[in-house]
Amino acid sequence: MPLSTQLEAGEEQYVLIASLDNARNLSNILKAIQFKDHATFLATSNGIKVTVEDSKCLQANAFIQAEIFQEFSIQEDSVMFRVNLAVLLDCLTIFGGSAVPGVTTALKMCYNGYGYPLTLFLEEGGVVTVCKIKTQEPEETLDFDFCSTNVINKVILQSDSLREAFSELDMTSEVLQITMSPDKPYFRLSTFGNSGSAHCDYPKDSDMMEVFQCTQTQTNRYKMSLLKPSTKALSLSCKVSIRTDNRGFLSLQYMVRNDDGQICFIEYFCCPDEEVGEQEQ
Amino acid sequence: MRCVVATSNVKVLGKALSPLCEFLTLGLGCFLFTPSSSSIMTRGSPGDLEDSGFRCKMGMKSVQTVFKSLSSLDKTVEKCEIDLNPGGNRLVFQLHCKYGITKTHNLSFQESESLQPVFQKDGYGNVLRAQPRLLADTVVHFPPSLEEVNVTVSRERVQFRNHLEDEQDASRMMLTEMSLDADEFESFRVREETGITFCLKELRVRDPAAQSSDIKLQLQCNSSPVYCPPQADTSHDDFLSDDMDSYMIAMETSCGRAEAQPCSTGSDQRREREPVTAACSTRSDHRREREPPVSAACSTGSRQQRGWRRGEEEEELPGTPPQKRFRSLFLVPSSPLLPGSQSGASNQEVLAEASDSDRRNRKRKQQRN
Repeated sequence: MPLSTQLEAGEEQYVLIASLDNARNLSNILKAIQFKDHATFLATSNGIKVTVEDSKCLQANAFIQAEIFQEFSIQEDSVMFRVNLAVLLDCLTIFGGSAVPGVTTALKMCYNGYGYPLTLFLEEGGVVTVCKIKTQEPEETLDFDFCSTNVINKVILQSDSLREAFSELDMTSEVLQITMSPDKPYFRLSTFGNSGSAHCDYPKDSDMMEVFQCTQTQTNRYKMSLLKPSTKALSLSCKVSIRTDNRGFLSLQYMVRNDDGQICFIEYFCCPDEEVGEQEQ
Repeated sequence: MRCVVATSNVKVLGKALSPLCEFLTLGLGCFLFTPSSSSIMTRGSPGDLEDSGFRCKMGMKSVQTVFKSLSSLDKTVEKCEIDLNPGGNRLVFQLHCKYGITKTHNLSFQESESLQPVFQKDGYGNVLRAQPRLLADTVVHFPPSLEEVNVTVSRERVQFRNHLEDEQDASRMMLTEMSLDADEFESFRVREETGITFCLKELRVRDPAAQSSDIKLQLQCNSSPVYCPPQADTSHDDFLSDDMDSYMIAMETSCGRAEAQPCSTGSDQRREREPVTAACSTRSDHRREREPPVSAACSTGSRQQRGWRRGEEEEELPGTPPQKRFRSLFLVPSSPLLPGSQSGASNQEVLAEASDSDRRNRKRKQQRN
């Protein structure tokens, strides 16, 4: 639907209004899941969930709770729409991406429901910009049916240690293999690249390991191309929880502290790679 | 076979690999670790490695993956172990890092022939000595893509010129010529006018290594391989190392058969060293506290191990890595330039025989020309 045919709305008619004194509290989180152009927004009284999916095998969700916003009002039970994430981020950072100390971009995000564009009022240093971004039909997001009752293995690591391991991953490997076990090697990341295999082992009693709850030895492989985008979320986060369930589905949950010290979460779900390859010792 | 590299040397090992990596992006690097290097401790008797005859070639990119984050190596890595896996088909690099984290790399390799240049240090008629800065300032004027350079040594000057293949038209090429007068050198002894052509890239590899240390450049050439032993500043005797350790660089020679001669071993006296093989260990400035480089020896022979002279008491500490100095680089000329000088494949003595793949590549190159 071209923009000009989308309806104009007055303030009192907005279905969703969300305001932030610092737009970076939203833009930074969204950048961490920006591996595809489009994202689905779901707003409820709890806050906003932004979902990005890839190949029906990977899903990333960013949760920004209502408490993060300086103003948050929603007139319906749930509001859902699809936007071009790249365009949204360009608008949120319209005054420049770099952080100048003491200067923030204020944001007021408004949406009037189906058929209306997403309106952004952005202000910095007295300059106001209004952006209207076309919205699209929301697509049904995947339900990975990942529930805590099916979780077999869980570890929580401090992001610092995992960050280096992820940045050094052999990208010539098609898969990232994750081994979790109550016995050695406890928690292992493996790659199988052109020059050979590489393993990174974290002992269960490592200072970096905050929680270690592994009940069964599980080894699963995930496509490297799917997991590589999660490195962005890892670099923002202070802690990460890694869980696998009885089907080998992977859940990565990142705890992110924003500029004001508030906590947000980013979650990645990934299906295991179906192809069975030979495991190197 | 197993080698353990101590913390302080891990970063240096990674750094020392970097110039080689640049140099050998299309090829393979050749490393030989011997138990005689005291900065690399081995499990098993010193004779094991030599007896087992283990030599291998690995893709540079593979080795680079082990030492990816150079800047954080010394902060995170506590120990590096290098071992052959039980199957004997993988070289295992294991980095023991902080917080109990272990990173293991199982890298594939190829068996390789040994390359051991054999030569006599005193056979050179032309000996030139200068600060490494002089060489750096000279090569920087040549385009980075330039393969080979002609060097003409006369009694008054040394001239560097980019080398043109026969089929290249000089009028269509950018020609660069640099002359260095005799008085720019600290020592300039030319017995006979000589012209040689060799690979500029190899010279560039050596330069960062020399630049990072205080050693001077010495060029010795006839028309046989150019020999570049470093000249240590003898006023700082305390920090001289007697180790003969050095990396080996796989090099191409022009032709012929190498004589099967053992490497000459150096005496262990301080000022008279006879480095035998190409070395590429970088060496930190002895005036500053930095890690000594890790290097590997490629010749047998008796040599005394001297600890790093931080203090008398530390000399005796086992496993304390000694300082290593940049030893020497062999640059093999692809052709002698001046008439009257030794020409023709049959006259030129081959010091380091090429490996099979090098010979095949050369043959292909010759067939194309």
